[in-house]
Amino acid sequence: MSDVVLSIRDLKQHFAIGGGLFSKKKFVYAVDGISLDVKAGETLGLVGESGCGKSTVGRTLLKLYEPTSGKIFFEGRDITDLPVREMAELRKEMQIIFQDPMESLNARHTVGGIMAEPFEIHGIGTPEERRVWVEELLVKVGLPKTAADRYPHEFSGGQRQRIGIARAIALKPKIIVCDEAVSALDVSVQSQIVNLLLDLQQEMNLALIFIAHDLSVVKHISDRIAVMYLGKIVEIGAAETLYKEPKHPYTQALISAIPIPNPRLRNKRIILKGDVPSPMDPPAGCHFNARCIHATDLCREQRPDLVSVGENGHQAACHLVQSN
Amino acid sequence: MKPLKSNLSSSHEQQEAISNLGEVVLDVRQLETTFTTEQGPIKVLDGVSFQAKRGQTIGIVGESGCGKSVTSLSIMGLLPRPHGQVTGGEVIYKGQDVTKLPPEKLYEMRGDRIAMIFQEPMTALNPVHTIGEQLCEVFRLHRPEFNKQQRKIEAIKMLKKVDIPAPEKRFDVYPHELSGGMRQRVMIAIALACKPDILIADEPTTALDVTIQAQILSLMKDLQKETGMAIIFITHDLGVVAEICDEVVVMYAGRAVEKTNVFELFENPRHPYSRGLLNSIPRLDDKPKTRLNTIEGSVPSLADMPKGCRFYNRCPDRQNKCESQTPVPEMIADDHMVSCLRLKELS
Repeated sequence: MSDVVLSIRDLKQHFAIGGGLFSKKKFVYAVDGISLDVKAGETLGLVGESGCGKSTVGRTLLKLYEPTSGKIFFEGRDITDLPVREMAELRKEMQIIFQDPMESLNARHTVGGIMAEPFEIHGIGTPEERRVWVEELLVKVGLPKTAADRYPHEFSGGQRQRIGIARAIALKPKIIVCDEAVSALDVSVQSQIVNLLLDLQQEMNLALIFIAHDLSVVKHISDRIAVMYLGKIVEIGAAETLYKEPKHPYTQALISAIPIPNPRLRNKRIILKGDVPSPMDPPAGCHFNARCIHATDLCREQRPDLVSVGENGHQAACHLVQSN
Repeated sequence: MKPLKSNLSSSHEQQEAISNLGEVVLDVRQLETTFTTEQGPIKVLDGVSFQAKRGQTIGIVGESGCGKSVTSLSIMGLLPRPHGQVTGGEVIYKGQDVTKLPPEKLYEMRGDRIAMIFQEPMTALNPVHTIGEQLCEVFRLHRPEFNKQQRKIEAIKMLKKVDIPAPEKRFDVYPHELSGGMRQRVMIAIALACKPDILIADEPTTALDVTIQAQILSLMKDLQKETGMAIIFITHDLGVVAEICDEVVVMYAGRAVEKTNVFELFENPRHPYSRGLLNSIPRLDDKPKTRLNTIEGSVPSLADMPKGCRFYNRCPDRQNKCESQTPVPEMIADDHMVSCLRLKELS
């Protein structure tokens, strides 16, 4: 497809730990063979419990981490081994928004200074022009122009996230990774930021990768959703289908665990036993077998592949779905 | 010296607890808390009232800065001194006002009759002591009649009760060796060790994954059924409120704006803030990629509160009178309180 902005193929990110004088080197299999495509104007949601590798995927595909293996393509061009200088140039096109804007904004600089930085780094415009652009951007994300002369601590959490977004869109990127971008915000403010992202996406034809653990927000903002478990995608499909007809037992449990804001729908949960196993020592066979109520001997021995289970690219990795 | 009694499974005691379901165990009346700051005194809580009942869960819900946590700290006598002080109202437990208790009495009551769990168990647990030691500490403080062996037996019983696998082994591990969900279970074990009448849970599942949150909520419900304790559940998540609470207080900027049973709140919210809050949560049956309803603006800072109704600057239904007049709580049904000047016109 021509409008694919970013693709990854069999991406792996293994972090080495230990390996000192007396200890054997071990690996954390944070991302273990993931393939994805994101199109222009599309939001891809990435969900899963903590430790499933969703943030690592987000950072690796922007090459903030060097991938262990696999390929990353930006608009069809292989950028996996791009030299640092060319990669720096390409960073204009790919941006990231973090969870806590207080930590990602430099507290000693004014908002104007923080936001002019992307232009300075890439040598775009004169200081006067930059000032005008910064003010335009502030207005675009719903802040007053005067915000440019104030410091991050003078703003509320929601306003700071708006600043983070303004900085991310400054260079008109093609793709933005939102790493838990609304998770730290209050509900009423969270909905404001979700709306802002939806508006900007429409206006700029942005591709978004939306990483979050709040499944209702992810569903609301995404076109497609990928569910991750221990470094692998276990199910992927259109947002609506995935929530209506989840195929993988893990997706089913995850969706069923969302507390529904309706007191008459209590007590209808699948409650998963135990925690996510350590990504240092993933179980044999299907990674989910120890917590799965349907697990059979086959699940304990053989790892299921991601196969098509429905329309519009709905795929799942589960032996039980395959046998049906 | 207290009389020797078995801490757990005293069936007579339990029977009594279960038979008095619905009885008020903690009565918070017109609680006012003031913080002294460089800009002068700021009233952080302004006349908050609610009751915790045996075997029931009361939710306190609102956005950051609305005074949810200050409410719990005021009840527990844990306000930062000397800046924070309860300046009005009372908190009645067993006929006495706990806000006026001397520190040593409070010390006795806290962790024994009224216990608390927090959002982040990693900061609440001591990293240099094993979880067994931390559990035994509760008994050392509140059950001095126990010897070392009894303490250990009771501690392991508690770990078993909160469904920690292999409790004998876990007794000797340090907090960092456990997952977030397990740590929160340990916190619950510590809090419930002395079978408190009241458990204050301050965002206990906010830092956890949904699947683990579901485990913890179900555990709390089971333990409540077993012991008949009253739970005061502080949260910002309306989904969790719907899941676990019997009654709910909606707070905004230090005031209770609405209080009613959980069904009434979700089906017939009357305060514009409660309505806005309920409207702005994304729901699973929404059409994807549609705009969400919002409440414009953000919570005003405490030093700069609107004079009349504190929700004035964000309220979609505001009128001129709301700017200067302070709304008074009104009962529109036996268990439904709303504090809004336009209550009669907005229905």
